[in-house]
Amino acid sequence: MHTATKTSGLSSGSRLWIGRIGTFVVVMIALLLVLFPIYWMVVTSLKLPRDIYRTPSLWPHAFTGANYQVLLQQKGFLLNIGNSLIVSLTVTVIAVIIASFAAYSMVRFRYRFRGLFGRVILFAYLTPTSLLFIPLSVVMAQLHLANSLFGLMLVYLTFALPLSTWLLQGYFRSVPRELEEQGMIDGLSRMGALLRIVLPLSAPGLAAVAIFTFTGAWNELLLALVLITDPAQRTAPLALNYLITSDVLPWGPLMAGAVLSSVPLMILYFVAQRFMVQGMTAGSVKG
Amino acid sequence: MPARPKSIPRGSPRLATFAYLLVLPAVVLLLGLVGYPFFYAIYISFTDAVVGNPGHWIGFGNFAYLAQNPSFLNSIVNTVTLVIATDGLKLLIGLGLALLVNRKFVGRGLVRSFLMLPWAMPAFVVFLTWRLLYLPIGGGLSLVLQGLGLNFGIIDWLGQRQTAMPSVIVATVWRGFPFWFISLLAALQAIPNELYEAARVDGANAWQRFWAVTFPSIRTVIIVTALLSSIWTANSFENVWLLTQGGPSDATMVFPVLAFFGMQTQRIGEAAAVSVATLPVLAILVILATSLMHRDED
Repeated sequence: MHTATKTSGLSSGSRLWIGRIGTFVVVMIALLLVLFPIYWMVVTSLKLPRDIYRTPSLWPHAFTGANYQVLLQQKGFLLNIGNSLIVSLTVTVIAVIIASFAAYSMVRFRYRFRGLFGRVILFAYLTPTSLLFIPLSVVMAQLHLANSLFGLMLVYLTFALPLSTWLLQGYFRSVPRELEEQGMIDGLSRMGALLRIVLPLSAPGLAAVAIFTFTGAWNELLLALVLITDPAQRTAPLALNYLITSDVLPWGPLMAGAVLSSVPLMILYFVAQRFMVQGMTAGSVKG
Repeated sequence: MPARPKSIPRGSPRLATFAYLLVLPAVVLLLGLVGYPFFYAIYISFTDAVVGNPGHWIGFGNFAYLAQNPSFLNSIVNTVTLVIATDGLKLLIGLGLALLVNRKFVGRGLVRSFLMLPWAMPAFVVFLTWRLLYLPIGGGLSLVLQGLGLNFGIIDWLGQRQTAMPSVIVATVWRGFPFWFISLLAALQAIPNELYEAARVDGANAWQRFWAVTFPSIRTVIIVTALLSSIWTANSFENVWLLTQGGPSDATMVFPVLAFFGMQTQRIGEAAAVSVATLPVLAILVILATSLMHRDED
């Protein structure tokens, strides 16, 4: 692409420099476009109301923590964060345990229906919530589980379980079976081999899968919107969603909520990036 | 080359039982939580069910109603527009950046991390933030455009018919391009350097090298990513819900939001029909994706 200049008779050295400068400029523009909305979110959460609406500027005239105070004290956002944490952590633990067993079974053994199970999991992974939210809300109401965090955990397994099973299969496949066989010669049971050899060796994979599953549950809005009506049971995205139903949107507290519910995740992704990238590409796309 | 899974030999029922027991909880939960609701959705779309009343079988009544409902027809056109526009842009941006970041330069790892950030943000945070950016007065976008000397006056980006859909598209691309970027970058990095050297020896220029070496190596990844991304975008709820709720006057209405509104009117048979009507297309995409993604050593 960068050798369009080839015919123009430039030396290879100057072509290299044009390529480098071009790369630099494009990358810088991309970074600016990516970082500006994030900057705007953070900076708005620290602005006084008059700086948001009346005298807007790219750099705030004064910084304030008032928006966080309003969000946490008046709106009780800590309760929502707590609800989100309970739901997401529980879903993650349950999904990763059940998915580890299922993935191990499908990777290590051959039996009737194995291929079918594999396809069921993939289909479940690709079945969108937009199709399932109506029947799920009816079923949850019949089970008297609507409007409860427990019901929410149950329906979140619809995406958490297929996702984690699908990703874990990829990780388990790369554990050499010789290690397991060696362990079993040394007296481990099949279950022992899974728990003591396969899982520890897949630790980075497990971490990545746990982060993906946690994120999926943490971010979910549609099912929560349909199932939860009690304000005390609202998760973080739901609480913010209800802040925008008023006529004048409280942008300061809204962005404070956005920061509180996204920055910990973004730091986690940044730190665990290497595993995450592996998981994303190994899981979604056949290499 | 991964080891082939061990066939359970005849006469080892214990091992077979063990294998089935391990997979059983996942399969039972998925049949109950995904399989049953899936078919239940199809069933109620053929009834006049409302909340609290299972209703009666009315055949294709709901679909006949939808076929002449302007909101529904609008939502289909909009969903298709959104998918094609966003995935086209995500491919262009993702591939362009992946090709650039695949070159060696100082700080490459850091650039990659930063470019992934929109994907690491929760969708609800992204679209709330973009709604703020699009504010006609005091919105970040207007300020930046003014700063660049492009004064369009006061534009209500999300509130006008002509600008609402493009605005939803831009925000959706911002959130979704990193998935394309990372998938394509991983695919590019897996291409052996020898292929490029061989092509260079044969006198191929960069353009020829791209079409002879790069493109064939990443074609499958592009197809799978396009399928996945289309399924997700077509069914995404947060972007339109948080930005415009489908407005102004249905200009950005997509079918998941329409189904949600239907649900709020308590007519769940009709609401389910909105999603079920899109099932034939979804099924094709899902079957294509699964056949490319299904890893089975048999």
